[in-house]
Amino acid sequence: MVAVSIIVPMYDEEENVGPLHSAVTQALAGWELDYELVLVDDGSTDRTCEQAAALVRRDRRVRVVKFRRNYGQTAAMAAGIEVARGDVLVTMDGDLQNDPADIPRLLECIDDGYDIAIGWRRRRQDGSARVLVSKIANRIMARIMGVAVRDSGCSLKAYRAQLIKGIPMYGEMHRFLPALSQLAGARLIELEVNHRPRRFGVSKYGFSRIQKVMLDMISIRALLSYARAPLTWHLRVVGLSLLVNIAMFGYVFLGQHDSYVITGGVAMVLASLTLFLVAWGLAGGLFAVLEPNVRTYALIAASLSARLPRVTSPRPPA
Amino acid sequence: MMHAPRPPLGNVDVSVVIPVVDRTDEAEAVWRAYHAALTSTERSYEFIYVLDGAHPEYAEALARISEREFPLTMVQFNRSFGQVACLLEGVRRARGDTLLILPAYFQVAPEAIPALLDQMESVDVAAAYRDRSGDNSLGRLRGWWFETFARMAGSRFRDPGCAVRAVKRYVFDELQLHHEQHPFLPMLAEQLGFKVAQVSLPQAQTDRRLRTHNPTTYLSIFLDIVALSFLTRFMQKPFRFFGSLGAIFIALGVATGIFMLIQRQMGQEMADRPILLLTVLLIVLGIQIGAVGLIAEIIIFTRNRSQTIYRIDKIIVQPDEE
Repeated sequence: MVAVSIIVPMYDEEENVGPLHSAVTQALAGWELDYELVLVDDGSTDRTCEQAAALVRRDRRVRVVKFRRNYGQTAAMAAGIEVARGDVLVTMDGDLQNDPADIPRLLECIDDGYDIAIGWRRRRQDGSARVLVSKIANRIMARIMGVAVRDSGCSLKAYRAQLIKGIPMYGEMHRFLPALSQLAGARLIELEVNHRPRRFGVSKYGFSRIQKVMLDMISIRALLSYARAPLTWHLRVVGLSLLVNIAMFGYVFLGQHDSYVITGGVAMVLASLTLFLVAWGLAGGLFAVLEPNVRTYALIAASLSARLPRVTSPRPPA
Repeated sequence: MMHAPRPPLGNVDVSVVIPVVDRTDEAEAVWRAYHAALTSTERSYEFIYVLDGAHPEYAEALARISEREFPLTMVQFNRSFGQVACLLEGVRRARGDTLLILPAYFQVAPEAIPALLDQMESVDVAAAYRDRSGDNSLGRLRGWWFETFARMAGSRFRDPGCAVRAVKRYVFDELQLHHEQHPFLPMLAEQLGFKVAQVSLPQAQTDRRLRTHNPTTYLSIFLDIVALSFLTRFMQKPFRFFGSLGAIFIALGVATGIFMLIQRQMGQEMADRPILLLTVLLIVLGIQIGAVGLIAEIIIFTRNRSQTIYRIDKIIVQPDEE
């Protein structure tokens, strides 16, 4: 029985494998805690996998998932989550910019009843352009999603496994997990964590570009409302379109003017939009009927309100 | 469908799959050349011919070979289903672990083909490309265009039109090849994480002749590439494509709207001008394009569970675990 799984995606991090392992071991040394360290080798071209395999031989708590080629950070996270057996999942970066010494504090929060504990890198140790892009992305995220996660780019997070094992992961879904979960009613806490400058290697995962983040957020927002109510989620949009439409028709027939051709045309275009949106929503509803597990995420979120069993991890002797 | 007597049962090393679609050279000469090349490799092999619809003379020639010299497997479709269908049918019937896919005409010098098989110890797919130094200029230009367009779709491989490939059978367990996607087999295999090698083979003499294709062929190849490049780029995030497109339309609509409002301030009436219609139309179009993108997202979201986005090579744990 494993209580905690620590999931670390690694891409060309051969210098960091050993230090990461010893840091994690050290951080959790005082805790009588059954944990496993899941290293996901995201198709590294250097000796990351050999280093990790060497660790497996020394330490039975280490498990390594090796990808056939590079699939990106979300895929690596998804694979780690899939393979992990713990009741609590901790994710962190493989470059040692996160400090494994923060893990026990995150776990304490989960013990206290929170569903997600996320790190907040108050003092980031990156280039200023990187920090700025990330800040803007977070600001937009807070606005569109209606949730405030101060630092969604921080990988150091702890989740209840039940919460995220069912969420489909693709694209850059891993960035949105906290926001999604908060919208779904999960209890979330932010913790200030250490952020250290890179000791070895260079940053591999590039900037999150603002346009992409915005588009992703619109689609995820839509997906979330879709997952909640697959047949009726679009009604608000239809209603809005219908209102504008009625107003336009009212203007055409009641207004004091003599340009019926143009205003009538506009009204017809708006009517076609309303019709289109109705058909569109029905098409979306079709998939919910075809694929019954569409609602999984909504169900997971709903089941959270019933209290989850506590993960008991004995504290180190004071 | 008709079967020649099967070769002696038991495993063979190499299954040669030859789709017979539209372009063919003389059946017996082609077979003899391939046969001679394979005999020199000291591997056991079988031949599987898949005929795409009626090729009466070709079928007759194959039956003759099968009777007198070497038992062939022959599958004949009752109508034309295309190259990919032939290929997959051949793969389904193959018994060898290595599949050698060859065209029914001379494309590369047959005696060089064993070089492809020699690669198969270290890779999953070996794709040949023609050394075009002796080709006519039209052939070279055409090859260059095809390669350049394929690069747009994300392919890094040379000469996608070269149908000579050696593929490990298990690649086809995961590879999903759809209509007319055979030129992109190496690229699709690489996306799944298989190792792909490229091998330069000398071009066959007869392949250097001047050939012309139907213009619709070029058009359909181009459309296939466009579709494939969309799939490979936006499969995971369709809204990034449709959303950007929709945003452009909405931005155009807003721009004409602002232009209109400025003119109104300057005393021009708004409601009786076609530009009002244009503005509304552009915005509505933008919304519709974005909405289509969201439907695409929903499809991915609902179907995602059945297809993982990554391929695990292996999981390393201590032996006493599990």
